[in-house]
Amino acid sequence: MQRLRDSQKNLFIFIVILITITIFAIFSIWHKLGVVKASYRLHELQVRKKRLQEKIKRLEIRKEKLLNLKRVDEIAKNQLKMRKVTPEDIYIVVEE
Amino acid sequence: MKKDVNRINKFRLYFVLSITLLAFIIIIVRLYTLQIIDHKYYYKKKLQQSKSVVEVSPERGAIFDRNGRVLALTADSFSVYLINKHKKNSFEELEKLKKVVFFSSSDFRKIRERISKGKRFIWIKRKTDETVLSRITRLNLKNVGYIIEKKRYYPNDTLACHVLGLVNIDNKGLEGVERYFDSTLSGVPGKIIIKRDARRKVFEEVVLQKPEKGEDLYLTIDKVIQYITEKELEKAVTENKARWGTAIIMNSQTGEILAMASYPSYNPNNPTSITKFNRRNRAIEENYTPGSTFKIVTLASAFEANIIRKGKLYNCGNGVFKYNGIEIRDHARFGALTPKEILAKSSNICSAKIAHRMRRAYFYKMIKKFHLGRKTGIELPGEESGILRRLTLWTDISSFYLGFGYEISVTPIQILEVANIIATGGYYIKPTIIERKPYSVRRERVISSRTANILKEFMKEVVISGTGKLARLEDYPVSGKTGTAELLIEGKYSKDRHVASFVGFVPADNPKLTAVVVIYDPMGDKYYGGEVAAPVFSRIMRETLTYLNILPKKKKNIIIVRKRSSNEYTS
Repeated sequence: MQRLRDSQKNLFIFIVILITITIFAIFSIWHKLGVVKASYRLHELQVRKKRLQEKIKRLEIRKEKLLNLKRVDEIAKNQLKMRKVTPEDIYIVVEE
Repeated sequence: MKKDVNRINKFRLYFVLSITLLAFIIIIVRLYTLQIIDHKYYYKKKLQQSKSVVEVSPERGAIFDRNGRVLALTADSFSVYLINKHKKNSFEELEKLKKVVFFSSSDFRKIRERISKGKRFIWIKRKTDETVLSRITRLNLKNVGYIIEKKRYYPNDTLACHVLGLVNIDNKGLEGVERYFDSTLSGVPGKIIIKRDARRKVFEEVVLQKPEKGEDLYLTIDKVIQYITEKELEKAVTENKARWGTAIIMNSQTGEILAMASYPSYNPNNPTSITKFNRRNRAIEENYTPGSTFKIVTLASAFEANIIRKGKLYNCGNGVFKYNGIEIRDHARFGALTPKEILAKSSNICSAKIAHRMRRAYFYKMIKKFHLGRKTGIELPGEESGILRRLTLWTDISSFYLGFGYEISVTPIQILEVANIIATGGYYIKPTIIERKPYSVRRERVISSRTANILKEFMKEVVISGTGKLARLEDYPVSGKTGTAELLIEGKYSKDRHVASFVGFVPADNPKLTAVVVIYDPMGDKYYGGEVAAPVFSRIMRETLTYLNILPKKKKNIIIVRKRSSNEYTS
């Protein structure tokens, strides 16, 4: 009877150890999966950040292209019909 | 009975335990083999499959003007390729691509040839923009892919192209500051480990060595002044049907180059359209005969040696001077002239005679002292040093010719420096194109301030009553000198082809800006420096002085009120 009890006890301990190992293994895999998932997300965000930075740069280039002085000069003259200030356009007032 | 049951249970238990144990032992043995005995082999294999070390090219530094406005910038672009698995499919896909991508006929032919030859990897379009890429991706072609590459952008197109230069397809500097500062702009490449999963999807990037971005460069160029200069230069070269032209604007007191333009120019965004002729930065790479602008050096040297006196009259003859088989001509019969008039009327005969009165060795030393015959050392590649013959090679007539700027070649920037020595009161200041803060100006005494002031006054007279009247500005006194030299063609000076130039500074009494304009081989009605180059100088300076808000001296204490009109503007 005692031997049976002993063997049951041993079995119980064995099962507990097995369950513990399994829990640890599952936890470890779950943790690893979490890390991998986070890595995917992080990488995605990094790619997105890079893309946005590039977009900013392209917009900056576009802005500079629009500010091209030759273009501005042509728009001012031809589209807006502006003209340059001549000395006749200037009043000179002596400062007191 | 119960005992039997127990035994059976016990047997079962031990059986299960043994099986489990055996399974564990097998797993452990296998693990041991995989993890310890064959560790190296599998580790290597795993690394090959999941990790790859990639070199990351650094971002090239940007280039800005003195006010922080962008002149050159690097951004991502897209290079489209075709994997040529089956020729028939490739040709079909190429035809589809032709509808959305612009190919030059030669490029299209080359791609077709490559497909026919059976090349597996073929570039379709290198470094194209997002719009073209989106048009291509919309086609959903099986064998067409793309990679991201860095591309250099010059948002102002042709503006300051000769100063900026350009880069090749691998982003290596070929010309201008792009070449001179290539190592500074390039940066240091980095390395990253890319980790991939079983589906080859990237899930992590580990930086092994961070790429170091190239340093940004701040030039002394002012975008607006550069634009004004280029616009006026283009107009002058076109109107006068000249071969080329160049103009440089410099801060007289610091040597900072505010604008450096050459025409014809090119668009660095479109390297395939650039010719060798257009690529030349004439301001520093071109030697030309300075002609009368060199008389500044002659007279300054003569004053330094006390060979001439300010108010004394010198005989310039009747327009023709013959000596030892040579003939020197003036454009009029001047008779007796003072040194001021010699410079104002630009007498070749008197300048030649004055030069001849100086000892050869002394004159040579003075020319060298004016930094002629050597490079200025400006931070641009390909600078020429001009041509100054060694003293031992001078003949009897050399000093005659040198007196009015022949038998010598200079670059436009060198003649600019000559005028600037007068502007600064006798100091040489090295020209620079790179903004340095705090900026320390190194001055080198060339002539006495007395001589410099005399020449300053003489050069003022050139613009008031002499050959440079068209360089005049309404409210600012201008000092300058015109130059018209015959072109040296196949070893002989041509009578009907010339190089016209003007060099000067404003305001004459307190110089802020020194500038040179050179128009090479004008084939129109006019060819004199005073007619072709001086008006360009005047127009550039008028706009630049307004832009820089440099008020005329007499108007320092006044308020300028502009009549407001809805359609006025300044550039």
